[in-house]
Amino acid sequence: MAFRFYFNLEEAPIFEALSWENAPGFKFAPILKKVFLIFFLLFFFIFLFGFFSQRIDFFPVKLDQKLNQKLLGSSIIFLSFGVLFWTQEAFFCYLKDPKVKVELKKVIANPEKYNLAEFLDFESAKTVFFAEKFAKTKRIPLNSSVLFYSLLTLNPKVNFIFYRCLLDLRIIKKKLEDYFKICKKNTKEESFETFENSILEALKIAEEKGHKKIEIGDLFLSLAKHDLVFKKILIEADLKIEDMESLTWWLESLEKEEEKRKKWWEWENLAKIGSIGKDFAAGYTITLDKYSIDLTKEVMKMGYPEIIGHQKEIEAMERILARKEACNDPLIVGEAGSGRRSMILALAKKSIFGESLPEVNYKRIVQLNLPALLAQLESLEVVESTLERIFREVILAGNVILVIDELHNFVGGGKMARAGTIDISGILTPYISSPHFQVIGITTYEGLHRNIEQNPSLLSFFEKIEVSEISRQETLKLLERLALKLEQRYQKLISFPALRDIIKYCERYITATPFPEKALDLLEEIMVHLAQSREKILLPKHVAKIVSEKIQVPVGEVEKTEKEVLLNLENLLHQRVVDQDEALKEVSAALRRARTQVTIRRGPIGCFLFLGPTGVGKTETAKALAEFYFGSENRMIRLDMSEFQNVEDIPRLIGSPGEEGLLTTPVRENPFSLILLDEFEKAHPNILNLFLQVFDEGHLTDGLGRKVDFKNTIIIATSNAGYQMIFKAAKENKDWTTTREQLINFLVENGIFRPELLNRFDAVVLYKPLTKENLLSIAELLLKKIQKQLKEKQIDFIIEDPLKEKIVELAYRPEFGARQMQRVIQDKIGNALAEAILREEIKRGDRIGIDHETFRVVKKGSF
Amino acid sequence: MQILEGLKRKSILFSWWQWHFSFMPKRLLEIWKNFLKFGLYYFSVPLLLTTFFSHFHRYKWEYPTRGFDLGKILETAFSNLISRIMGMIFRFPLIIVGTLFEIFLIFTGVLVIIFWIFLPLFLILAFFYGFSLLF
Repeated sequence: MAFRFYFNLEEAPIFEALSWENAPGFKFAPILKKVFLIFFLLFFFIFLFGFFSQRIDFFPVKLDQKLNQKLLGSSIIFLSFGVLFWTQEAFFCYLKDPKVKVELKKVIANPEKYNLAEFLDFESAKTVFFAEKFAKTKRIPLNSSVLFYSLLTLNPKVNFIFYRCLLDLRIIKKKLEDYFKICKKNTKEESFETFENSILEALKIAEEKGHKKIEIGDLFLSLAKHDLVFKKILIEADLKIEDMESLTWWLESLEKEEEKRKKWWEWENLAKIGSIGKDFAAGYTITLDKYSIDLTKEVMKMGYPEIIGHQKEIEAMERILARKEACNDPLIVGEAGSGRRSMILALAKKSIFGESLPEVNYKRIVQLNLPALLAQLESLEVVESTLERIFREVILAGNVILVIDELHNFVGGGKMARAGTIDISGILTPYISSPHFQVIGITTYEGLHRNIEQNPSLLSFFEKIEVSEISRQETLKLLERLALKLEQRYQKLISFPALRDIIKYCERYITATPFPEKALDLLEEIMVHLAQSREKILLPKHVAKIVSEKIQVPVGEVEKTEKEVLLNLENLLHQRVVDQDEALKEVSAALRRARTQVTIRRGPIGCFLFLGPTGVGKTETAKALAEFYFGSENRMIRLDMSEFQNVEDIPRLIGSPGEEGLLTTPVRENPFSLILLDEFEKAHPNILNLFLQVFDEGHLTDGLGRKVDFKNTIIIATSNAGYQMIFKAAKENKDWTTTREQLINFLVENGIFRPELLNRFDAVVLYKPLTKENLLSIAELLLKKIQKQLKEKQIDFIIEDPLKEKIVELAYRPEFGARQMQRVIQDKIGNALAEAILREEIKRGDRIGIDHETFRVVKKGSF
Repeated sequence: MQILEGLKRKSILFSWWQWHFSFMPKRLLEIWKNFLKFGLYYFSVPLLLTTFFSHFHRYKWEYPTRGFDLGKILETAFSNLISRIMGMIFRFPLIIVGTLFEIFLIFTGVLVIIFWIFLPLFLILAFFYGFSLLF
């Protein structure tokens, strides 16, 4: 049976409000209310003046009693009219919100059973009503575009969304009007289907958001999904549905906040006033107050900010604090910047409103300021006695939850001897064992492993709560909050695409710090830069510029020069690497795919296994790549994997408490790097297994429990395993594809590499042995380097073919590749030139050559 | 058309009736409840009542644990008694003020609701009274 779309606005209860909206009694009620109340105040004030002037002689002017009576009469009439219109206004608000008896969930399950118009709120109903009238007047079929046009016309608040996206509402309306001229030709049924879909989708959105009726934001989002014109506008502006969702959330949350603020009689607003008697039952905390920050007061000062993210962790913290046993102290473990402190502020807010558990409600959340305490007090003994006093006060007060930030800095496990630090574990342990002593510790993974875990007795009183970074969407919400404050501070507009790009770049390129801090910090930093310029709006290009400067890797739209580099990468690499066409082609193609983001990959930019004999250009390719892709050869992290032949070497690679990882630390510090793993086959199989995750997921957990991101790295593993097969193939002039397959089989069969590891490489690239012709080119490359250096000394070095041939003749040993040649050039040419310069046989302005037989410097004149 | 207008008027009168005599009194009751809750919260009356005999700001003295020293025990008991009396003295005025405030809120709430129910009548009377003063 076909689906029957039942939608009749005139039968819906909301129609009553729609039909009365323009009645003068309702339409002008808000204005008339104000006018009459002002008149009442004015007349009543004059009446009071007259009233007192008749009774007190002091007044120089006296009003006639009859006139005064009339003034009183008028003010009573004005007051009654004022109150009447006030009640009219309130009554119309009631009319605008008729009760819905059915849940949206049920309606979505069986939409044909209900008149869907009943589930529109007043604004949405008004929009549909206008759309119906508009379609009739213009003689066009009722469709989603008409609805969209109506929404834009009647709801100025959606302008907030377009304004943030830098879209002009007038242009959008013009586009819609142009579309209406074409859509007259469409059949009525076809058009109405888009309208139906929009209403049904709006129902679903409203239900997902927990709304009781379809609100204007729900209708707006459904149109973004179903209306063709709207979709086209979004594509042209490089906006997605998720962006519209985020913007709608922003608009709705601002409206909600404003609405809440107006209702001063609600419990939440009344509770903000605070209480005067709560402290009577609590003890004094004189010493604690001196060396602490009252987070409860801080929350009050901040105006009770909305809690975004970490809901589960906050609830876990409340549950632990509510325990009536010794282990009632949560230990928040997470990276700095992941929002650990915000969780405490959220707890403080819940405690103020009594929304938490009884053991937490109405308590003071106080952060112990240990650095201030250590700085102010002279000796360690005084510090210890002060801390003792503070902890005693906490227990005696009975209403304090103590917060110790960076707990690991003050719990040393006997290893703390630095100035300005103290090990408080000895003082803390006797108190923390009491269920009346509630303390929240904040630490990092590193601090937990390095210091706190060294003190198991102290740790046993804590229960860990691991805090991961908040999601992209949650961070975007926080950015939107911050944007409003920054706009006010700097008097600049922050566009939504700029905020979205901040999230995008932070996720991709700034991996060492977690969300939300990295995004919030970046926005602040960009705003400072923008404040120094004359530009009025923060645009995506500003974000890309600052991010590029920060990480020294171009981001954003691919620039013209970078495009040229990427397109000519093979040729550029060939400037440094001779031959090896296939290898360079593979690598270049992978980089092009990564930069243009054609493929979505979870792993690094590229993982390659270079197989071949020594000295054929494997390392040189890696160096050249680091230079061309990351801007410098210094961006290469080189590890000799023969140093990691035992399982015990794993901590050296990924770090451990007290030891930095040779792989993980440089990648954490410099995520845009090329990682060269030399002699990969020599590493222990367990170490090779670690790389499975890196190649697959693009991250690795280091020895301190931190996630290290490899997504912005290029990993090149080199190996000369099976090089004899390559030599044989070269000698017999075999097909290289077949040779590669044979070599891979050989590696697997001999247990050198496991198949799952080989499968994870983007390409297994074979480097051919160098021929004499290749070596001639390499000789030229190397001699050109010397030529360049001599040019700086204003000496012209002429490279002749016989010299090159002689070098190749001396250096040609296929098993050593080009490496032998470097030695020959160093011995024969380098030494000869050095001696000649020292003996002053050659000087500035000379043109020289090298005799290919004797390797002596020969003067060829001057220039 | 006239019938439709008539129906509409009838319906709006019914809506008004519902709003004025059912919806709004319920809403006022909710607000009244908020204020009563706030009064108790602001003056912390329940907490002060449950801790009425507690020590003043938790100032208490520990009894000697070693030996038997009657003088010390009596001294401690006296100090604690004084602390408790002090606590009572300080809590008492706040409980009284809080209770008076609650009584005030109860009466105000009742008056507001009665006033609201009779508001249409008051408005008509005020209107006529105003006119009688004018002419």
